[in-house]
Amino acid sequence: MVFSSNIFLLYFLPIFLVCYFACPKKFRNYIILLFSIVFYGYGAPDFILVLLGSTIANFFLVKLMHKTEKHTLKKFYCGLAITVSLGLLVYYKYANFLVDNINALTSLFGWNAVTLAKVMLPIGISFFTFQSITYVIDTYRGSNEPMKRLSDYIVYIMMFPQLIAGPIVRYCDIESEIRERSYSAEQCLQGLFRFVIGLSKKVLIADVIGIQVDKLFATDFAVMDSGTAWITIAAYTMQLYFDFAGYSDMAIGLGKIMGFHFPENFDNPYNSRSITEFWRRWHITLGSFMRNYLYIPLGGNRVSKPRMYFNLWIVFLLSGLWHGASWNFVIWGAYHGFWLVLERMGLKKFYEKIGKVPSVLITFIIAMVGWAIFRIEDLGQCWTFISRLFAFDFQSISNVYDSQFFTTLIVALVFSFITLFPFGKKLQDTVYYKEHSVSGTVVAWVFAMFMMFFCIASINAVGFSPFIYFRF
Amino acid sequence: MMKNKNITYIILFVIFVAVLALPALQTQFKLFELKPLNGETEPVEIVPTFENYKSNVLQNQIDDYLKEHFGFREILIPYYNQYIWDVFNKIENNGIFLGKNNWLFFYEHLCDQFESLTYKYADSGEEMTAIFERDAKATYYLQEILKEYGITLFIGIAPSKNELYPEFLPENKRFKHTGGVWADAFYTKRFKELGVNCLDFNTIYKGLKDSVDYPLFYKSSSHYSMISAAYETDTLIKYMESISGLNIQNVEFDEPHAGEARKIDKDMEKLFNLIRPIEDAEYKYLNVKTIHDETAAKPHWLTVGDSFFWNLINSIPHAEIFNGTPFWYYNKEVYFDPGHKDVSEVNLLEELLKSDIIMIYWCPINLYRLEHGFVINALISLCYEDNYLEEKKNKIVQNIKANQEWYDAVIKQAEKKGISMEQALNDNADYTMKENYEEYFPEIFGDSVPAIRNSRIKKLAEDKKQR
Repeated sequence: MVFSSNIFLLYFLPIFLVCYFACPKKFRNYIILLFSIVFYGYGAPDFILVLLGSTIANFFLVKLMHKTEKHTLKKFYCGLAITVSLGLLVYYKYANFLVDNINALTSLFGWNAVTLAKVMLPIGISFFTFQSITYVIDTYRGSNEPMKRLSDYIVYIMMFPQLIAGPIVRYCDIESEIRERSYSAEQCLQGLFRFVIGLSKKVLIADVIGIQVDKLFATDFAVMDSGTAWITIAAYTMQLYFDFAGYSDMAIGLGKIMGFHFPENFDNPYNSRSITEFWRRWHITLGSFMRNYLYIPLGGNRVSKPRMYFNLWIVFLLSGLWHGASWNFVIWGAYHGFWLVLERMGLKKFYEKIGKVPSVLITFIIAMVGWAIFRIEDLGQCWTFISRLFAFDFQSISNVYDSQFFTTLIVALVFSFITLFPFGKKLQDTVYYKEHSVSGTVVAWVFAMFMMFFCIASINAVGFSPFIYFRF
Repeated sequence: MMKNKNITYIILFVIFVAVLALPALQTQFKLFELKPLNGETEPVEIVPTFENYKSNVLQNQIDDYLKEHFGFREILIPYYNQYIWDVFNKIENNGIFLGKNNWLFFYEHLCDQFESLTYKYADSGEEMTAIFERDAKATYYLQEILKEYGITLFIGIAPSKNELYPEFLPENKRFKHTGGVWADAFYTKRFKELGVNCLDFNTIYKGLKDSVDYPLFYKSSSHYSMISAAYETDTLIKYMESISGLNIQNVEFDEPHAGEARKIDKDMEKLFNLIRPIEDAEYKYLNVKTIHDETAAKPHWLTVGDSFFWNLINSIPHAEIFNGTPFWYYNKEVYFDPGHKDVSEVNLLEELLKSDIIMIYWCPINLYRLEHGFVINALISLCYEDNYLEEKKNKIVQNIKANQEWYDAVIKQAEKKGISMEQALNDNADYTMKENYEEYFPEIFGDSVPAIRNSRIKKLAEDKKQR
């Protein structure tokens, strides 16, 4: 089930909110648990048992790990719990990729191909796997006690707002709120407003741009002029951001309504002055996971420079692979790793010299080219597209002309860069973080109500193409 | 103060949730009676089986169903569409595009779409041409057999807006060859060669375009204007007279008058479900009157066709001129015949022999399926005994049952569609027969008019004579 669907907005959400707040506080986790199972079971019926099974297994393994005094046994349980989680991820996400690549290699030697039935990817597996790993490792490190109740642990892993697209919430960040949390009407309203902002980003910006982006990426890149190529990649850059950031806003908003404080996942990433900064502002919770659970254990900054560069590369290669099981994601990770290493080697100093606007612009262009690698799976096609970007043959863009697309793209660009300016920062603080007066809240409420139904109308009007008469 | 603030926030939150729940309540309980949106959509059926749930088919069905039925869509969608139109001069309908000066066109009526339709119904241009040839010949045979019993058959081709007004098409929508076959070009030529009666309004309208002072099409209509259709009723009746030899009551016209736009004259605009109209043209209409002639015959006129027929039948005083005008819409639904609702209920042979004039009326895109299950079924009913078709079908059903693999596939189909096994077997038999007409009914696909006849024809023809 996705947030921007009728079934979620018109049925699931109101029913959940009524049940949640009608229920005594001590039973609210059970309501979350029940609705989360329904939420996941609705969209991925084949995998709900896999998810529940692995979650339960992890819960007991961590309990055993915590109980045992022996260090080696502790380590063993920790490894086993991580293997269960990562094993599922590797099997479901990468089995086909691995088999395809093994077959590509074996075919070179004329050996028989390995056969494997197509493995379907359970939605959200990349997110809940990482969450369970934070639980295992944080408990292993002694940063926190394990959960007492299985139901609470399942709530942590399966809580529907962040189950399928994050943010990746570290166990230690949310542990206390799972046990006990406070509620206030003001916080509920703030959560509601945040949810509507996220929904608007997704439905009114990302989805509108996405329709044209799909058409543009379906055209023949070989005959695409540079202007169209830049519009295409700029549009995709905006689509990705508003889609993902919108989804994170919705998750954070829903969490707030329920009394949780999920970590922020985006902080105006396209305003970054370097790729290093970009990764501190884009998908923040993934970056922090990679830093805490991979980069630092590999030695972090405390190793020799060559080793540190190598570690950075490894982290970004794996981060790329985490995004998808295909070579373009690996290359995308390597591409970002390459820029990060360059920045550590001195590029960052150059950015500081040239000033804010040029460095933001260069970083934005690097990120955009990266998104081309991210989007286009066929590497040959990807190269053709990137070469069109830098062919500098700008022709008419009439074939991509769509006033709604262009207007929305401009709006998206403006909102992406607005916080570079003081008034933009002020606007953002007012909308997201500032406490409002009662009258201000009422105005925001009216606006949120309007936007909510505007989004619902948009979800349903786009693609609603009735015929004049029913035809046979 | 703090308490008041909290109460206000609680109220705001509760109202928000309550309002959010309203569409679901409206969907389930129809709390308010709202005017439905214009236009027809494919009905969405929810088949709640475990198999469908597991394969996500059920979830997709629910999504599609809610898109078509969520509460208050009758209010929300028009406002959203109006916003899209006012702000972006854009329309939310995948099937329609905006031409120059706000002229509206159907994508599928585009001339290059005509050609690409080839690949909807056949694998190649050659295969499509073979189907056209088969259907042209079958139509000719049908015409000749019916002629034996005093029944006149003719084909009508409705005008095409895209062909008539290419100057309003955007540059990138102008005609491009896609390598397919153009049905109306094929049929008009082939009908001439074979001697099949054909009234080609498409060509007539092209001739009228620069000489008439009334609109042949309105900007926002897909069908020809009511006023042009009214004028063409005269052409139609005179054509019927010329090919049937019957004396039919003719028509005359009052002076055109302005009137409120009728639905069919802005049918595409209606599909956008806007709050305000996009075209402010003056709509003109014409009263068509019968020139009473006591000596004139009142023929029984059967039409098989598409929605373009509505303009004609709604313009002509048909009850005064004809003795019955049943209309078989897409050879499926029955209109102007109180006894029947669906063509499957009709006894085809009896209905054919009851008629004096039969018109097959399609707009150019529907010519790709000219016979539409009518021409060949009519030939079968005229040439073979009544139970022949059933016997053939039963034999196919037996074959399916004897073939385990085929039978299992039919079981799966029945489960997926949520239909009975009997229905699924019947559908499969029908499909198999249609795919292999030549094999099952070789006599009607020969090189000359079939010689065999259903033995019941004689009696029905005599009964008609006596009447």
